[in-house]
Amino acid sequence: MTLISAPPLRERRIKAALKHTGLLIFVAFMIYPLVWMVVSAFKPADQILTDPGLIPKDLTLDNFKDGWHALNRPFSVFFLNSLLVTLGSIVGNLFSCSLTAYALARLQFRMRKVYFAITLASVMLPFHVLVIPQYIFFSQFDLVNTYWPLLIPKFLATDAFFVFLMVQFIRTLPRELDRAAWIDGAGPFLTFWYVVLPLMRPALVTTTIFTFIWTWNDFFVPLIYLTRTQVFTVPVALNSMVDSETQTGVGMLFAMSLLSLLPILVFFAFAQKYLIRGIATTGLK
Amino acid sequence: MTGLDRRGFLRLALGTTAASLSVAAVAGCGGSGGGGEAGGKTTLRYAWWGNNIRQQNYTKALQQFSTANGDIGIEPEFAEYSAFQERMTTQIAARDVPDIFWIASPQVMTYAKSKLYRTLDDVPTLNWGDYSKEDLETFKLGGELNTVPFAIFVPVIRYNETVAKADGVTLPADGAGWNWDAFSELLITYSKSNPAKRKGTPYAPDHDLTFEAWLRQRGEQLWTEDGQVGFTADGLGSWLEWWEKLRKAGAALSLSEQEGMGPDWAQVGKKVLVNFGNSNHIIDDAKMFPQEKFRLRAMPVDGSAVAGHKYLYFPRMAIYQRIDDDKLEAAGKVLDYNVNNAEMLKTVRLTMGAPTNPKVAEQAGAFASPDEKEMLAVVATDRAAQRKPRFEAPPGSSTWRTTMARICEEIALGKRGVSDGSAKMIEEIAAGIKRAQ
Repeated sequence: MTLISAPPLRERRIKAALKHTGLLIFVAFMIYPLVWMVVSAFKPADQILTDPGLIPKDLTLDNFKDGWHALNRPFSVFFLNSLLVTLGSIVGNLFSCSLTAYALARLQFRMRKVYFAITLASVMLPFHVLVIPQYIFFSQFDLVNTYWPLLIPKFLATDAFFVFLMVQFIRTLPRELDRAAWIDGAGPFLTFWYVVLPLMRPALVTTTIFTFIWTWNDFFVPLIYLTRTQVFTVPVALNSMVDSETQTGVGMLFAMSLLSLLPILVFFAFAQKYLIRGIATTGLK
Repeated sequence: MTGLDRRGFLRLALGTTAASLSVAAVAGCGGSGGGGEAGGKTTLRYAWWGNNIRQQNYTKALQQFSTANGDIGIEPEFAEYSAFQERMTTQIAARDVPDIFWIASPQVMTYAKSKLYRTLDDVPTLNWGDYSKEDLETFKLGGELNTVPFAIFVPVIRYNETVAKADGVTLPADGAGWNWDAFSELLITYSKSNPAKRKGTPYAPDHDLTFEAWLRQRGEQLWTEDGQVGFTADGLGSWLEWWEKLRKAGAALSLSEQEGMGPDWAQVGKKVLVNFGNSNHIIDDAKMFPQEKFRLRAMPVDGSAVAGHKYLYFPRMAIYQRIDDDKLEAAGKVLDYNVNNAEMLKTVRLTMGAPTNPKVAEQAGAFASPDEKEMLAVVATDRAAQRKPRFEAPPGSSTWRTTMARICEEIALGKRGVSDGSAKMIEEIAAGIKRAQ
């Protein structure tokens, strides 16, 4: 039997220093674009592309002032619009996906597996396949320029990714809890409401976080459904600031992009621990 | 366990859903309206693209129109250029197209093939009286007057007059001395000798309007009347060779200096003496360097250039083919205001180019800025010239500029030769056109 001695302290320190240096370099690479955007937001517009360094010659708040009123109305309008759509989407996804997941995970009914397979298949369906039929549907009902086309699908459990996530989570819950509720006289709804839903908190939080981030950043769907400036969401408003033909307006774009990142950063900072817990407990990899 | 049975749960669920949707939809409620009549007022959807300045200016101008025409309301539908086309594609598929819309240049004939345009010569409220017969002929697509060109721009050489004076550079006057060889020599000489180490020009062989000018001088064209590629590998190759001469002599910025094809003017404006561009771009581009003065020149012309090589490029707008009959006259009024009324130009300015209506163009001179006047003058000169017909990009060719940029980049990087690149580009564009047929 041979004893394996630990490497000497000096060697361990060198290894740790190398590892941390490597990680710091990696972090610098990852964070550089964000830092560049922050710095550019405070540079005069004519210096952003001509002087791309991180140390600005001049600092100005003009990009924020100009950007805030760039589209004939204060940018707060677009923040509010995005907030409405995002909160509505979160409520819709939590409500519909949890119910759907419960049915698919716990209830016995004909063709349950087929429905689940269809749900899974819809995850793999390219979004663009659905865009035009959905647009036709909503435009026939005169719902363009309202938030209904953005919200109704959320209340119909069309985000199959979250359904799958919740199904996986519910499957980890002991069935004995359901049975105990049934013995107490609870039906499926009561069981869902009092037993399953409270235990689903990590999955619900994960759904909330991802829905928030994806909806807040969604560009294409709001672009096609929201054509009036006053109902634009933040990404559509940002896109309208820069002309791809002449590249004017990048200063305002960076300034307003920086502001639009703040809600996500704040939300993520508060919700991070729940996100990790949710991912750890839902089998999501 | 009490308090929630199935009925109660459903009530709660439905209540929550309805409340959430109502609250979230409240800011956008009311529907698109889809135009139509409301209280005797005709509402029209008007779609256009640009940046936030153009959004503000056109929104204001359309409001002014609605104020002056109380029976017509306008719903603006604005987006950035690429996003505008994406939105339009969806709207076309759903047959939910705005009543009046601008047409992105690569889509002109594609939309025509999809029968999106309503004919305009029978719209009583749209006045064609100020246009010559020749003008009206050049406006037509496939023999039909179904779009309105609302501005004109032409290919130009834009040069920095402030720098040119400081460096003692004089561009040859129009005439025999202002030819392609003399121009390339001037750029090469300047790049080698100027104190600020500027280059003559950005590397821009993929600039579409100036490439077309080159082709037409050589008796070729961009597109044929029957919707095919209108140039040969020799015609394209000669253009690319001209640029290779500049590039190899260090008279054009390298790809790394300008960070790839299609450089940002804000980034390269201080590094070059001249730029190849559209006449209307001076208005926005000059503002990026307010301390310097920019001037426009018509393209150089070789002695061997064929007659009628000059041409005008028109951005166009149209009325949707399926517009309700009862909205047609109102739509005609809006178009008429766009193209035949100088008042609108005072609000939207001339960033889209010189007015197509000659009378309006004349009136615009009174309120144009110095840069706008420069643009008006160069367009007026080309407009007065004899011009052979020009044909729009056919269906299936919408990505030709991207193809050209890629080929030019490959040539600059030494991955492809000029003759090989020319053949490849024509082959790819022709294949795209064939697929669309």
